[in-house]
Amino acid sequence: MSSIDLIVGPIHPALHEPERFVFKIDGEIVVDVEPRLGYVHRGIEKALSERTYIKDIYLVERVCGICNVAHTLTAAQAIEQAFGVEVPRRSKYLRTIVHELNRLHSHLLILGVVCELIGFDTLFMLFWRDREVIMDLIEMITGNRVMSAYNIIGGVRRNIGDFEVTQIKGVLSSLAKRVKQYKKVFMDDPTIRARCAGVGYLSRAKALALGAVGPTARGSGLELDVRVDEPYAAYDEVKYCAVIYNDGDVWARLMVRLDELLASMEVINECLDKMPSGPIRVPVPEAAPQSAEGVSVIEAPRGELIHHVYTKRDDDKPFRYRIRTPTYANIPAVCEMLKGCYIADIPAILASIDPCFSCTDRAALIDTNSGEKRIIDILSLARRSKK
Amino acid sequence: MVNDHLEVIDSLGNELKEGLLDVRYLPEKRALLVLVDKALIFKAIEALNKISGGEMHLTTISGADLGEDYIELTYFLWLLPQRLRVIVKTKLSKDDLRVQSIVNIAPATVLYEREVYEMLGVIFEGHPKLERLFLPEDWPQNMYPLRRR
Repeated sequence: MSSIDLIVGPIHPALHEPERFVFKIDGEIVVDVEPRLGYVHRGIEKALSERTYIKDIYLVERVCGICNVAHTLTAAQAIEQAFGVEVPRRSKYLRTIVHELNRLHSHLLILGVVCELIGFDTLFMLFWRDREVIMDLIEMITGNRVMSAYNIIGGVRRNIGDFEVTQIKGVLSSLAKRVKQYKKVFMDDPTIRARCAGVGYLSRAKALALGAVGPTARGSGLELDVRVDEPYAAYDEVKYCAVIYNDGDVWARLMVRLDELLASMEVINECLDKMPSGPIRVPVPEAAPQSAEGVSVIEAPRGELIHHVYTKRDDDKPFRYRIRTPTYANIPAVCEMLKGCYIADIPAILASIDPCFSCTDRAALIDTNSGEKRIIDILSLARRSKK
Repeated sequence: MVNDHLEVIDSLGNELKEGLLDVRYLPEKRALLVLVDKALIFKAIEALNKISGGEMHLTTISGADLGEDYIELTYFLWLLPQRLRVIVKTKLSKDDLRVQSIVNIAPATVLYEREVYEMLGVIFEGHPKLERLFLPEDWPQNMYPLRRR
């Protein structure tokens, strides 16, 4: 059989989780997928155990720029657990607020990207316009748009006052109206339905067996949400229900994110109302007071994120640090989704798990028989798919 | 819900008998810690899968060289019906870093086992494709980046 290898990925100078997928294609149908990871494996786990805990916070947020708050939060929680430190209640609420703002901008980003890839550029621009107001809120609270370094071991870095509370509430109430409008578009628009519904199917059983996490799992009807299952920060004191869709296709995964935008806004509002007064951080020793293990699992925008740290008594560096990011967990699942799909649907399916998208910025088409190679970028692939 | 971990402890005891080295609930981690002999790791995961009625989510495998004579493997699992986090630990002597792969029970582990293999040199027997995952092709053989001397 003259099968052709279609190679998507991996090289781009600004990657954080680069992936290359070699697709075996038969005509327009993808028969098999082989992922290749590790093009810019930076050895962060090793580097973390060679730096002090204080510096580690700034290094872990560079694992992923988009969900940097998720990483600092998980790292802080894991290290606090190993140290035996209890953080003040107010800082837990502040952590939750910034964590959810982080999720809002991450979800708005990927929804925009998917819209662009399926040829709905207007909606892409609207999503990204709305993302900017969230970035401004994050800058107002943390002092920085992207790399916020907001969570530190023992609490958070900055407090918020009445002015910030009013600002956040104002922005969220107008954003909620627009998100409801977008949700209606996603429900009714024939273009979106045609490009997303029934595409990239992942059954619940497969999602569970392949270890899918986050919106990818919840879009397949799998009830996995760390905020509900193992509440951390202030989630045990606020109301939150996991958003579940049973369709298992690209559309369901996007709808999970849209509904989570609304749910996140409710969580932020509830936190702002209930937030207790008091200190925002406690002093923490520089060196570990005991040899112990810390494990922290949280629901990052892309799914379940876990940090596992071993500390050694009187040492100011972690003995071993292990991170498992959500996109890594979703790789086997996305390979399953891609089997049997059309080439034209590859961009939408890949984007539907919300990988760090720059990963898939370039693609090469190789004919294995002639050895002929053509390199195209993902946007040309998307453009081809719009024809 | 609250005492589900007691039932899991009982069932594990029945399945694994003396191979179960230790099992206890850690309130600060809200997780059940299970220590097993490495020969029984497959059986332990299989037993947990059975206890959950096949509704077991494998979060990850984490390997650590503890600097002494052994490498510790930690399996993080989530049992959906019991809503329980289970942490299964086993120790491998550096003289014999072979352990049975659990790919047949939890296909999700296919990449995690490859990562532990290339970073620490643990051989997962029965893995369909135990190759390097992240390291470059020209990385020297028998050199494991996360090993301690």
